[in-house]
Amino acid sequence: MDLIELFFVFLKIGAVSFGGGYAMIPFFETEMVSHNWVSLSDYVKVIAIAQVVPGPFAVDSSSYIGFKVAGIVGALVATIALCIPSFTASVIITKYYTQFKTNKYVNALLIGVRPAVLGLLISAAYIIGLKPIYQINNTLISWTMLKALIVIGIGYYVLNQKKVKIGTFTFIVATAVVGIIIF
Amino acid sequence: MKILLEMFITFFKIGCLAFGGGYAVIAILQKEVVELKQWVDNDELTDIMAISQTLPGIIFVNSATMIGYRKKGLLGALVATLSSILPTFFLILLLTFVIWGFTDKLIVRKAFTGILLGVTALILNSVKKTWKTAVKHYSDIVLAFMATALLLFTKVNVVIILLIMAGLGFGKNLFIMIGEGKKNGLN
Repeated sequence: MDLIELFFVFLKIGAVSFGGGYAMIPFFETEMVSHNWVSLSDYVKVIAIAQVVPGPFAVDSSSYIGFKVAGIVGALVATIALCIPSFTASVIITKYYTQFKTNKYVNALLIGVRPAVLGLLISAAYIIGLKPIYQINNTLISWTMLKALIVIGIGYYVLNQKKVKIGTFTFIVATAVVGIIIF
Repeated sequence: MKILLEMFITFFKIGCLAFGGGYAVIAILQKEVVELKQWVDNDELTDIMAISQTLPGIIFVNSATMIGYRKKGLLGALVATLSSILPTFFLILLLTFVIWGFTDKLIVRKAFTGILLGVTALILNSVKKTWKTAVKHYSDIVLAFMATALLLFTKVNVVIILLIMAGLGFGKNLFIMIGEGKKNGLN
């Protein structure tokens, strides 16, 4: 029963998660919490670990959530279900590429959904950065929250300054050190 | 058969190297698939990456599927997709299994808090990048804030919110298209 539910939930996420990448976080969070599969505090640990694992972090999420629900078979089922919709869409689009490229309705939809992806990303930033801290004391106003906002701000500045080029891996290691020092 | 094995090895390798997502992956694909294997040319890869980002689902999987399909049909698509996610699939389970016992230690918890705030900064960075492609008209800003507000302040399921917002965006673009069509007709 769990496997069937797992399959359909991840199939659904795979079909609607426009934007990919971090924009998929709100989908994973909603489903795993509402199904009581994984808690947010455990999930964010996996996201932290995923930073040193290569490859798409959506696969990190589906493997872990699937594994928690039904072991290695669950991990397989969740990951494959997640890939089925975009796999199918990619094959169809490659086959009828020229028709798709010039179809104005397809374009109106694909471009029309982009503002929603911005909303998903902003919501993902809240889920990963602030919500776990909010849940500690159930308040948005605390010293930890202030420190967190400052770290996020400095991190954003570092990523956008042009003087020194910093790789993602170095950046993640640096934030780990910062975390150990100030929290 | 040989090409499928080659594909498996190449995409498995890419899966092992794809740290940092997005732009880093494009650079790796360029080197492995365009320069070394010449399965697609540079223009095709640019097209593939553009479409991969507009489709739902994992961007990396979309591009692997498309490259595999162009080169060797459905079987090629399957091999490319599966081999590209295999490394991630096993590494995250293995690493989680090894590290989990330590995650309750204070120092690890603090390090994780730092990492997650770093990830948040990375997410805000992709908000900035996405903003450039998503906002072409002031109405796009309205739609983006509507989506954000619905996601953060209501209990409506995220799938429903996304479908509503996609419908609104689609409708808005159709409306603009019809408007432009009329204008062109008058000229």
